[in-house]
Amino acid sequence: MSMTNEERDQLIQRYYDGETLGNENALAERLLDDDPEARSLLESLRTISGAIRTEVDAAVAQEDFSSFWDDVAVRLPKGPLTLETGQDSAREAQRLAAEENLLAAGAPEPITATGWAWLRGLLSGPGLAVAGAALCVVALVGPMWSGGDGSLPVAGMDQTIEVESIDSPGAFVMVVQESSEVPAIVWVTETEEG
Amino acid sequence: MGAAEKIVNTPLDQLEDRELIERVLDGEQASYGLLVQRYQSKIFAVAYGVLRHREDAREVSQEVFIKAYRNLPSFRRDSSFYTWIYRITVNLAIDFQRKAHRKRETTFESVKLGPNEISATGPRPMGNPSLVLEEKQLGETIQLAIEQLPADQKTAVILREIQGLSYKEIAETMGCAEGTVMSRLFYARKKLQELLKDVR
Repeated sequence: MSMTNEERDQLIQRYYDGETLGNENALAERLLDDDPEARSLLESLRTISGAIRTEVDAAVAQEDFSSFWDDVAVRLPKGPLTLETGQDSAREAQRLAAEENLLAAGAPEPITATGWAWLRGLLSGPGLAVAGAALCVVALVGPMWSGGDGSLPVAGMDQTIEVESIDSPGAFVMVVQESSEVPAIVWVTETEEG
Repeated sequence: MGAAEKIVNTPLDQLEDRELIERVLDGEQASYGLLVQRYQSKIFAVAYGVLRHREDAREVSQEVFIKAYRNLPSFRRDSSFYTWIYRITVNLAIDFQRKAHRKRETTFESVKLGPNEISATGPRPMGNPSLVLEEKQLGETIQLAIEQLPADQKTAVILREIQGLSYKEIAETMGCAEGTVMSRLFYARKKLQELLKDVR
């Protein structure tokens, strides 16, 4: 049976991880008997595992956990735990964190009348509607411009994200999606429904 | 002996996660302390694996337990607590890393230690300076190599190598397919092999 180097390497990896299926285990063992490269790969996987474990174990061993629970306990919500108390507490923590971030980042720079007056005009009255329409066009056409290298949105993909609420001093908001490396910049406009 | 009686008579630290969670939801906060103690080093290891910085990892680990506590009422009892809490860890650690945008110096912690201190953390070669040096070099290189991996590959490697999770458990933790886990591990390890080639 012929297999590519990549298929062989993937099989050896599954064998090493104990994730072989059906007759793959026997196949991997035959490969290890016959193929020096397969043996070398297995050895390399062992070396990598050992090095990672040693490094992380060293960090864990140096950590003092004696006050860990006490430090956590003082920050837990008091009283009976319900979905509501947990969420109230989480909201309060988010509010405090947002305030801290705002303080750390400094107050947003006001748009000055000289350099950015055109933008102020754009963001108010009819200009906003025009800008919103332009954004829609960009949002619809934009994906078709991006390449298919995996790092940029690709045409045909659903780019919709749901935002429950946004607390922002301006019209531009950067939204970092948990599932994506790429931040999405959205332009928030108020609608009559919103 | 009935299930309820068994729980009553079992020492707290021997109770299963699910039983401890029930107690926490019944108002016994101390039971949550047992869950924390049970998982604190594991959660720290995952956070450290992603962040490569001990103080940050500690901070994130504590946040994990606070967030998990708040969300305990919505925890689905038919799923496992550890994959749930690992998932929270991974999300918080990656989020923390994004926000921090810190470009840290290479600070492989054990490099600062003497060989005797390093050997206290596990079985290590003693009495052969060249082997100690080789391991130290390997440790430094692995640290650098892991830092270069994309977050999803790094997470898959840490969950596999440190926590020993199966592909299925990693998939559940990371919210992706098992095939994706295999692929992330495969490419992460390829990169690590490439970067470590010159060390051995």
